[in-house]
Amino acid sequence: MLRTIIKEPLLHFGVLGALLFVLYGIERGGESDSQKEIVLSAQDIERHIALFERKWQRMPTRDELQGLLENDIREEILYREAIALGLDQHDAIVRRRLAQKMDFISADITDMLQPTDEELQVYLDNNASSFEEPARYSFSHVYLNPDKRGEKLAQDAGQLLKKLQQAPAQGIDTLGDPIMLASSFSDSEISQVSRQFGQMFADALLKSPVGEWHGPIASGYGLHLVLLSEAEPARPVALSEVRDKVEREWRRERREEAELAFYRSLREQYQVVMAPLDDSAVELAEVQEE
Amino acid sequence: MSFSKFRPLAFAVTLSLTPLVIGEEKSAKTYPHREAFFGNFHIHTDYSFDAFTNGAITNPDHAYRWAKGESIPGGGGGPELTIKKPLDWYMVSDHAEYLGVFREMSNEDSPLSKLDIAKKVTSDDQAVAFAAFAQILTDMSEGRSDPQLADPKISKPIWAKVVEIANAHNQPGKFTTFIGYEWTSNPQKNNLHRVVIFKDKTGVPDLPFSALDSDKPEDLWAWMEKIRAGGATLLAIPHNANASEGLMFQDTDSRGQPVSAEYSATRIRNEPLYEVSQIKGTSETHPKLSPNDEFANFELWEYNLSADATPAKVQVGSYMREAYRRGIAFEAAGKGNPFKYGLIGDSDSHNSAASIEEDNYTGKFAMENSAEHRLNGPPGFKEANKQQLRLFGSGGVAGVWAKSNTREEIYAALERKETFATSGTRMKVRFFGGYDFKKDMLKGDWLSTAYETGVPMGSDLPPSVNGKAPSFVIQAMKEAEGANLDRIQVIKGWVDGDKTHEKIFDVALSDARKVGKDGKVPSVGNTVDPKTATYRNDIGDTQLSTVWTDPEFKPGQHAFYYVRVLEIPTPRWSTYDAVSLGIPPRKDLPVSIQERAWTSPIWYTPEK
Repeated sequence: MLRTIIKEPLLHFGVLGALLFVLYGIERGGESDSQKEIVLSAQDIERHIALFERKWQRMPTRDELQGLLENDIREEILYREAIALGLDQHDAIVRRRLAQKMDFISADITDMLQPTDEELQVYLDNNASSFEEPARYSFSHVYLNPDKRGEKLAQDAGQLLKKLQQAPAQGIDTLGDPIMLASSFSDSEISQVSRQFGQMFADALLKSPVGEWHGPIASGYGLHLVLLSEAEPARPVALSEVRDKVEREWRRERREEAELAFYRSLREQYQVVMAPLDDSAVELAEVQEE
Repeated sequence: MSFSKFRPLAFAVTLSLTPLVIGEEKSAKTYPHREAFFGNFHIHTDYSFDAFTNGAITNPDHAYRWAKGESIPGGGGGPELTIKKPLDWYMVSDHAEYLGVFREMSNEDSPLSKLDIAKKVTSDDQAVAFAAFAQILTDMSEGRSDPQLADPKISKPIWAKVVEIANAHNQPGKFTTFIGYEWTSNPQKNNLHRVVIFKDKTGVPDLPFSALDSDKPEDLWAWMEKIRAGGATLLAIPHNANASEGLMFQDTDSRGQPVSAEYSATRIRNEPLYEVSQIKGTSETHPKLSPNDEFANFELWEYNLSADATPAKVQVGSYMREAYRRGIAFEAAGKGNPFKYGLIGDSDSHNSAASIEEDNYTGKFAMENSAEHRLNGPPGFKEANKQQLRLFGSGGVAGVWAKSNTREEIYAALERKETFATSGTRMKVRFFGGYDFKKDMLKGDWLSTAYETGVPMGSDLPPSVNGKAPSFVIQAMKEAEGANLDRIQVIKGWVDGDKTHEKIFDVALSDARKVGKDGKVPSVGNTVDPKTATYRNDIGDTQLSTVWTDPEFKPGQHAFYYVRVLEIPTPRWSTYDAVSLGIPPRKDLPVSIQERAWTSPIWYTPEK
């Protein structure tokens, strides 16, 4: 019954409070006279002063310190009594937090591992594509705005392309229509090109010949004539160039392994008794998820 | 495999006063006329109390990976989360209040430093591993009264991990991260939250200032000033005034003293930006405050923060535009402008992933990670709470005009308020004010002219000479794979005697539309098909631009101008979800929305 009430929202708080006091009285029974003890050590007080000072850049006043300590006392009393009443049981928040703390332990421990260069080199070799220096492209483009040119768009593009092919050196800033994109890009990764122009344009750029005006290529904005001046292919990297990144990834993998190993070792200690799953109910739920 | 002698020194290095590695920044590409970099500051992970109680299973490391394009677990029994187009920068801002609880874990360090135990824990032999863990747990429980807790050099609070993870993912020129957290003040369930951002790791304190320390913004600012004096560079960004019942933009400070010049200066020095769009709604304006604004009713979320879906009742003080008006009135009265905010959009996701893409929305909480739960409500929820989730927007994005994608340059842009907010899409918008802009200036290298002879968004326009009216050059471009643009509007507010006013000017219209004699503009149309959740870009324009001069300018009046750009209608996330569930869109939600951008204002202050 207590549990049911606890699940109810705050409007039951008053009722709950009264009930707790009743239970509290009953549980304590005859020992109500004996004093329980809370010890605040000199170190506890120092800790409060240190924390306060770090936050406010000054020492607390006597009142402020007293307030902090009173808070501690209140929290400790309520904490102890809550545990005594079993309020930590069946509490999803408490359960999840404690479970999360266990995971943090694995993480903390793997943080202490110090990999050797050999270990990192093996990791890099096994995951070369994640670390390679990506391909880079340098290109210029002239834009044609469909909102402005309407039906003449394709024809204009053809004429402009001829002009560019005949006199590739002329200032491209004066040709075509204005757009909120630079007219030249150097050493850009294709993912950056895709973010600026869209995937369709990026795919077409990859297929463009190097060193000559080409197009038109379509983007979400309209048509572009492009001059791909340089295409530098992806290249593998040495460990020294990416050591930090490799170490981070290596660490993450160790952490996940440690978490899993730890959980498995615990899981082995338990025999789990589970009611049979109702197949029809499971299927129904999966259909609804679709 | 060997183990480091891990300890105090390592943490001191992580936490404070480490000089910036200058070499790192060298390779970052620079853009002389600045580029729009998009990202989010307002992201929670399972380090936030309310995120993990609602099912989050991912941490700050996952969050940064997601923003860079990796898939991460989504929780809630749903699929993995993957952004379609990665972001340029990102910051995790978990609630400080929760982090505070976790600093009690500090004393774990001491037992964990026993290196032989650590070796055993990572042993391939599970029995050895388990025995080692058991030993650690025993040590921990016995070491609980360890006095080392008071020594900041020995503590390893979770905040240190937040800092460390942010630093690890920062790649100047490629992907920028910031160190930050959320100060979660809600007096009487009213939202006064602020996200706090550090420019870099210099001087980052070893504990954040939380609402448990004080829920008064003045105390947060006082703490920020002290941390700044200690060498750190930081600012705060308030959000969700719409859930503040008028407390966010009051005529007084939080102790009831009237706004003063000193208050205004302190406020804006510490928080130059405001987050105008996020999952819990937009707070640009409200139909009751702006009855003549036909686009005012956009993704509003009118609740306070109590668990029982209590409707918000107070509009004044809860929306930015109305506060901008009072702000310039304070300025005119010699009290400074306490509401001189630039604008950003942000997320407030509690599931590591900002989920800003309307057709890729996965909810604020992990429990919403299924179309069924988002639209029909998670099991066990009351109807009123389910409706709160349905009225969530897909969040917003901050656009920042910076010289390069680095902490240094992005932070500098935040300080000068050269920022704009969007409701989630990545359209770009430029906005400059000046007195010498020519009608036909929008060609060639016009940006040089604009920067040299005018001021960008977020700035002060100097007083007019000879009463000349200011002109504004504005340019907007849709997202590469996004929807076309409907129009550009300039929203002006001004002070006339003891009254303030606002007016909306439609300054650039797509499809060659013109403003009618009655001042009305024909609708751009709507191509959204609710049966398929699709739209067509055969209405609207890919780009819009104009040079606009204020036709009603009075040189003696305090004024502000900001730009709003509307896209053509596109399906709301709830419409995409309805189609994926094979049901018609709900009648109590909009089928389509007009996504938009809002720039930081340009303020005009007359000569005294």
